[in-house]
Amino acid sequence: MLLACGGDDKETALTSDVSSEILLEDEIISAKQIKELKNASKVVYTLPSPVEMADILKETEAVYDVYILNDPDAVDGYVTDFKRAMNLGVYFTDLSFTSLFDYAQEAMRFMGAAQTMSDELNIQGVFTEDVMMRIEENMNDKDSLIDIVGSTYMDTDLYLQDNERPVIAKAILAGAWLEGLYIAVSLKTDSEQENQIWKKVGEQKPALGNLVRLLEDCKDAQFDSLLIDLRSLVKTFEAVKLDYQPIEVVTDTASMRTNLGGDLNVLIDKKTSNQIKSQIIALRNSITK
Amino acid sequence: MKKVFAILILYGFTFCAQAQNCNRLAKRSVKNLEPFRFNGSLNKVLLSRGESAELSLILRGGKKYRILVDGGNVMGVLSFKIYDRHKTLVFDNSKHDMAQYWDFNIGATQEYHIVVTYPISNEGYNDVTTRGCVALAVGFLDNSP
Repeated sequence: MLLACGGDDKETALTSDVSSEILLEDEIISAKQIKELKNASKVVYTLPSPVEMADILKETEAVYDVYILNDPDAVDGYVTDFKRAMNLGVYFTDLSFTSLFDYAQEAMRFMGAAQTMSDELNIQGVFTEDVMMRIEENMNDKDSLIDIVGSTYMDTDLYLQDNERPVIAKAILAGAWLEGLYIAVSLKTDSEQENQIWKKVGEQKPALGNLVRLLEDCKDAQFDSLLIDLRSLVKTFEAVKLDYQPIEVVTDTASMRTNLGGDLNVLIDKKTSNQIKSQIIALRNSITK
Repeated sequence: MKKVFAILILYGFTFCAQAQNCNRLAKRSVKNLEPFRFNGSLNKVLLSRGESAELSLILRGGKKYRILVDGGNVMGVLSFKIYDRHKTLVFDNSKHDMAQYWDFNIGATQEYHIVVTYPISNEGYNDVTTRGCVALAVGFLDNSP
């Protein structure tokens, strides 16, 4: 989403980022490339959407329990717009998750919860009767269902962009991403699946940095408490080592495709994973309770 | 007073029309991703001539991605470049006939930076337009053969 909270600071932020990169990787960056990157006047940090978070969870091939998700009947307990927005994000991820994992009945309940939150936030034209009907008609068609979820998330985002409500948009984004991590760390699995899940969690380290930047950019006091917790999580994630192998770039012009090869090893020790887990659970519960 | 009111109304209509056009363009870009699954994050931005926007996003290992830019019929072709986390250039559409979409097979999950630029001069397109909407959409598929 290209919805900025505070537009003027972005160029400065990118410039300082790039400057530190120059010091570290002087030999591989040409002056021309740096100039092009510096000239980008609008810089946007993104996070995986609820649809992508559900897809990441699907890749782990773990068996999930719907009871770890948020209670769809808890909607009445969220009385401020900020809390509603965070939980709309949570419900979007729960909805994506239940849609992708074939929990059709539960998906309907989460769609209802998301609709209620959306109405309370006065987000118009998203959860329309037509959309709700399409969901009912496609309840047993996983692919169609997840496409509808993706499109309602997109329409919510567009509405908030057009109506200049960046704080609500960012709160939804934060809630959705944190719920995805919460689902991942809340599973009881065998050790092989656990390694797979923690690899996925570790891969989210750059996204965590992006989330902090996004919320800092908002300069809104409602994010203060969340930012304190997220910065603490960033500190814990510092112990997660991402060991990247060099990228091999191979382009096939005829098929309009480029292979960006390479490999990534994620190294997390038990103490760090336990700490990450307890911090994420506490963070998520502070949103939903 | 009447004049000010009329200007405000006109401004309001122009703003709404621009937002609607931008949304239409963005939704069209999502449709054009097929058969790739839209990743759920729609990106649209207003750019002036010579101006760029950078999107920082994580592409996942083991996935195929389609990255598509769309400036509509008025703005014409856009330049887009992709840099890896070291800010090393890994793709430049000017080397591929200014293709407005490209597919990528990703080996390892990492952060990439997409820089979209509205070129200062766009031959064959409306040179009057100095500012317009740009949509950037990303779709993914499993990287199975």
